[in-house]
Amino acid sequence: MHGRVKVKTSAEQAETKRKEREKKLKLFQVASAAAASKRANGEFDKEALEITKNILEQNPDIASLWNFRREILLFWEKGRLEEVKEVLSAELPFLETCLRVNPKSYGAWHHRAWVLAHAKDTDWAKELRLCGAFLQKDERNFHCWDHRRFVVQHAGIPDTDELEYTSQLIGTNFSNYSAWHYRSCLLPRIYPDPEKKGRVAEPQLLKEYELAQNAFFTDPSDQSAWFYHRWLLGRAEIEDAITCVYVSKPLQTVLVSFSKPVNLRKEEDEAVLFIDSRPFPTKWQVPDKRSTFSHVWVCKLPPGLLEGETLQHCLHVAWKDGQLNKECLLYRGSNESWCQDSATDQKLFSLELSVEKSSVLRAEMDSCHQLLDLEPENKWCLLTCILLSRAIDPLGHASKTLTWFRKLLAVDPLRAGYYQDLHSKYQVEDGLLCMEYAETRVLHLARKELTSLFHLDLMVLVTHLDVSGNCLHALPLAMSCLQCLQVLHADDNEIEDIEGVRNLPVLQDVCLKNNRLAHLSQLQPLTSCCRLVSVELGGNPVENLPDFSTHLDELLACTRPV
Amino acid sequence: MDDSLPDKFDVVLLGTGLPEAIVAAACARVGRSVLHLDRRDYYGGGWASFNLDGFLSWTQGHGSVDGDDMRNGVDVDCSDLPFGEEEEFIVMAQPSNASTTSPLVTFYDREAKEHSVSQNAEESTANLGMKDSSVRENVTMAMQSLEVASEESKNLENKGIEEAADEGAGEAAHEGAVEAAGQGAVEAAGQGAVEAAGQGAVEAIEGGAEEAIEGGAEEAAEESEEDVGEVSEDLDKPREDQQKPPLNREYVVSNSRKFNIDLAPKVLFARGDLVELLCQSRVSRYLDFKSVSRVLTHLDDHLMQVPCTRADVFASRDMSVIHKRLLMKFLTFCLDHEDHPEEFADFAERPFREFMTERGLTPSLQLLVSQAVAMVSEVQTRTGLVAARRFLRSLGRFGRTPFLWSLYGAGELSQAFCRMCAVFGGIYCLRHPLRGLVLDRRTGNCTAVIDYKGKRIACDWLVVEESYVPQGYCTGTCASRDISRAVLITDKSLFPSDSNEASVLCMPGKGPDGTTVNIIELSPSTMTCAPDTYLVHVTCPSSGSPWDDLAPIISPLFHFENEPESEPSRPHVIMASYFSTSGSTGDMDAYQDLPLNLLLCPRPDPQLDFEAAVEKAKVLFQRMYPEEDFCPPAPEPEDIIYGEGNTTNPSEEAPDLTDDDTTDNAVIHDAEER
Repeated sequence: MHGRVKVKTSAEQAETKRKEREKKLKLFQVASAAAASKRANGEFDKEALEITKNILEQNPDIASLWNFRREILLFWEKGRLEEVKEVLSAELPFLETCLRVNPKSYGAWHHRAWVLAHAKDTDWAKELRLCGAFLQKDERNFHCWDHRRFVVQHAGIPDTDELEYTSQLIGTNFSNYSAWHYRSCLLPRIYPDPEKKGRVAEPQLLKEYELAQNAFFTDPSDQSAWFYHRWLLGRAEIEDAITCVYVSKPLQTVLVSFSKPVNLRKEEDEAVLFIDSRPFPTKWQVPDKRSTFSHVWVCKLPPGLLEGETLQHCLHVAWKDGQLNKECLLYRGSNESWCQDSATDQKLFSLELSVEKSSVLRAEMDSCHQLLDLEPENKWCLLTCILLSRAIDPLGHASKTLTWFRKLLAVDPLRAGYYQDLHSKYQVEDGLLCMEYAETRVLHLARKELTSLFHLDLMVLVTHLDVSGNCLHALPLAMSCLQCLQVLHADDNEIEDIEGVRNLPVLQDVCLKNNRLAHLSQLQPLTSCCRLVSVELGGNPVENLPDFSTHLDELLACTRPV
Repeated sequence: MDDSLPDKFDVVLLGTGLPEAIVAAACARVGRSVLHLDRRDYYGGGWASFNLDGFLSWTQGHGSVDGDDMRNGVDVDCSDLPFGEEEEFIVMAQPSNASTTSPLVTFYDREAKEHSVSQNAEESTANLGMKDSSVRENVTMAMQSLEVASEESKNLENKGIEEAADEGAGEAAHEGAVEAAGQGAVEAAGQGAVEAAGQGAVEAIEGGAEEAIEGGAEEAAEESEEDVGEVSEDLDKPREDQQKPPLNREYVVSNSRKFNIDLAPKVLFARGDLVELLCQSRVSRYLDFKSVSRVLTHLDDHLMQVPCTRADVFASRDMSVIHKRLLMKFLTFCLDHEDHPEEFADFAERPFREFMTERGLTPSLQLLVSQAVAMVSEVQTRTGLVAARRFLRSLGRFGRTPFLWSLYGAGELSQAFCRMCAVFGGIYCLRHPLRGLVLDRRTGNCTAVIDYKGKRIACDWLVVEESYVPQGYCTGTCASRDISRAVLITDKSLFPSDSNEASVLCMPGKGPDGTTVNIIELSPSTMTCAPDTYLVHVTCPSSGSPWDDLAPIISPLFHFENEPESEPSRPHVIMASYFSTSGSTGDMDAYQDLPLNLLLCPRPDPQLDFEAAVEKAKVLFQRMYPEEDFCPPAPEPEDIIYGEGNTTNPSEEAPDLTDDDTTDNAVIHDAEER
């Protein structure tokens, strides 16, 4: 046609491309083979460096070739120091080209760190600028973030400078989760809370709340700031502590629980039991007989040890070389005794608040309410309202919390399981607090829409547990913490797994009506409960099995006296 | 030389403004033969950019005088013109190029008294009388010196492209330079290149240098090279240790070449039609852009930066968090308002302000939205929403604002399309007026044009800028509304901050009909003004004289030397110039009984953007060639096959300037130089 510029067709273009690729492939194969043979033959020479360089420039992701380069340099270090120095200084610009090819190349970043650490005269400031440049290009490149931390450490950059850097990145784009995270690492170091480990001192904390608030009011659907806000609301690290010592005369057992899972079998974490001031050789065991780490440990006492005419026995547990202790007294005539920290006193479920901070949290709560008025469907805001009300006063906001949870389930059904579990956790916490106020050992958790059980390590003294009318699928293995449990009501759930009743030594009555137990094998954990008096299994599919009652009798023959 | 022009073209265009240039490029791109003429000696018509000397002489009407006297064949002797019995000859309009009102140019020197220049001494005196009577004495002297300056400038400027083409071999080098510059700009403007942005900028400047070197006249080339060297060094070295030159008239006049002053200053919406067209057609390879660094607004009697991005809103200290949310929520709604018509149905025809009140926006947020985001004054809700959406959807593409500035001035844009046209065989002649049209009495079509030398050139389509329309076609109703303009050169930014490369400020006009005044402030990095100066364009639709329209807006923002020292923080004005340009009638139906194959292109409008021009060009092209693609992507240079079969060479008919060794077969023809 008239006047048209003649252009290569797409077939021609494809053919040109294909030819180029073919040529490239051939070169690559030849070079790879050459490098491999040199390595095999131990030819650690300049040519080997050249070959590997040519390949890595095109594809920096071949770890073997980076290794080969390091081998060569280490080999040269034995005598050719000048040359090593020369190569090392040329290595940095070379690595920069490689990283441009693939800014997320594990091999290239690793090699870069190796080179920097090896070179004597590293220009760390320049390296920091490089990190900045790469992070500007991709602010979420975690390889580069890692490298930056490495550089900062070596260059001795003050944390305050780095904090300023995160402020700058967040100012440019507050969706930069990496920057928020880095901030959460830096703040406790720069402004440590004098009392709580891993937390930020109050004046700075208030500024951070404001920053996060600015972000989520600007864009409430951006999750980074909400996550950061949640970290701000977070609690101090749990300190090591013995939370409970319990002794039972009929069971000849001492039970100890800890603030976090521990392994008493490790020598340095050994806990020593003193009975009437005499160290007693103990063999600690976990209640579920399986775990390595556990909140709860038990030990058997030899028969007759706690008998006799003495007025009382003193059981003392010393842990961490005697730094942490707890003791309980067993009076004559009592069968059991315990000493337990109170959940209320420890503020286990709410934040420990100074007057100022609690007013800040209330202000925070108010602004979240305002935001919720503007954005009634925002899941992050709903969730934060729940978290804040839990932090301020768990029982006081119970009904509001429930409304918010229902709303959350409606607006974000994809995360229903998460919200339901969180709700369950709060229900369990409330149940535990109520039990503590009532000073009983009976825990009522019936009809609370529980999907899962939490805080089982805080239930070691519970004798009666009612979880009927919930949505539980299992009685989890961790239930073995409930070593004092005598009566368990778990009717009207969706339980298929009762592994949790295994090894409950004083369990007498079990109600499991209207659940989903379908096979005899699922009932097997009951056989380990040697004081079992009654088991109710009505309304389970297993009932319909032929000769069910006969089989059940057989199964429980050894446990059921009646 | 004119004998070498072919006798027949598919399309003849008259006027090298942006819409004509786009139509020309589109036609040439799909293989039509194109002749593109301009009676002026520079590209762009009402869309042109000038250096300072060129601008000053334009305000004096010099830009148009030279050729017209001898070429305007007004007294046409019809007998010697070649047309037949069934044909009718119609004389073309020969409009003036300069300001439609008497322009007023004033220089302010810190020490000396101001110098004022005006085309009409009486008029000037009248105008100046309002300000300062002492000025009068200086007028004559200033005028003389200006004459000299403009004489000098004539040799150097605004002959860029056609001369470059004369040096056929220069073409390839030029191409390369422009591409290199393009890459630099892309790297700098992109998501943040690893190299310092400065590097990209330097590349862009170097690219620009090449362009200047080839574009300029011989004697100018050396000078230009030096200039560029200086600029590059400026980027490398901090300037603090250098002695700043006194910023006065002498300084700006001696740096005339560093200015690129637009007659129709406009910015591109990052997702607007023009950007899409530039990318799609790959005309973008001939251009460099800088992201406008901020949008300003004038609230409560002081300037503030408009929070454009999410990050700006986040960082803003001017708003409470609740206001941040309300603002963001409203802006999000503006962006999606088309999907939720029910939410504003009751307000669609009511004032935008009422709708914003209903949405809980405080009065200051309302001002922010209407003035800075929608850039409208009192409008209906529907209009306001559409305007806000246009702003918002262009965010987040390039830089921190929705706008792009074309380096070296907006006049570059029409030249870039002309260039694309030339690459695909279009022929260009400047200073080439037409005497008139030849109409076929039977069909009413325009079958040919007669150029100033009497040569008859047949065409299928004739596309002309509005002002060329022969008088007989214009009915009484097609009076156009003029545009009031002011151009200032100042010593610092209106709102000094870290990034003030280019700023856009939209303010409600002082006129009775609620028009807006657009202000564009440009720094030297936009390649439109000399180092240490700022170039400020002020534009609004005319209600009265440019002075009456704009001075009330300008005077509170700037400091003039003849005023008492008010606020020392305001920018000092070195030069101020008020003039007006012809606006478009907007309504092309106002012309009656036009030949069916004669199409009209609009003059620049007072809007901030180019959208209307692009839209019009597209419509015209589709009317001409409905079956053809509008500006499909130009092939990459490496995909072009050379040297096979001359049948495909569009420039075959033009006997000159076909050079198979160049990267394209550009034929840019300047009748005058040959």
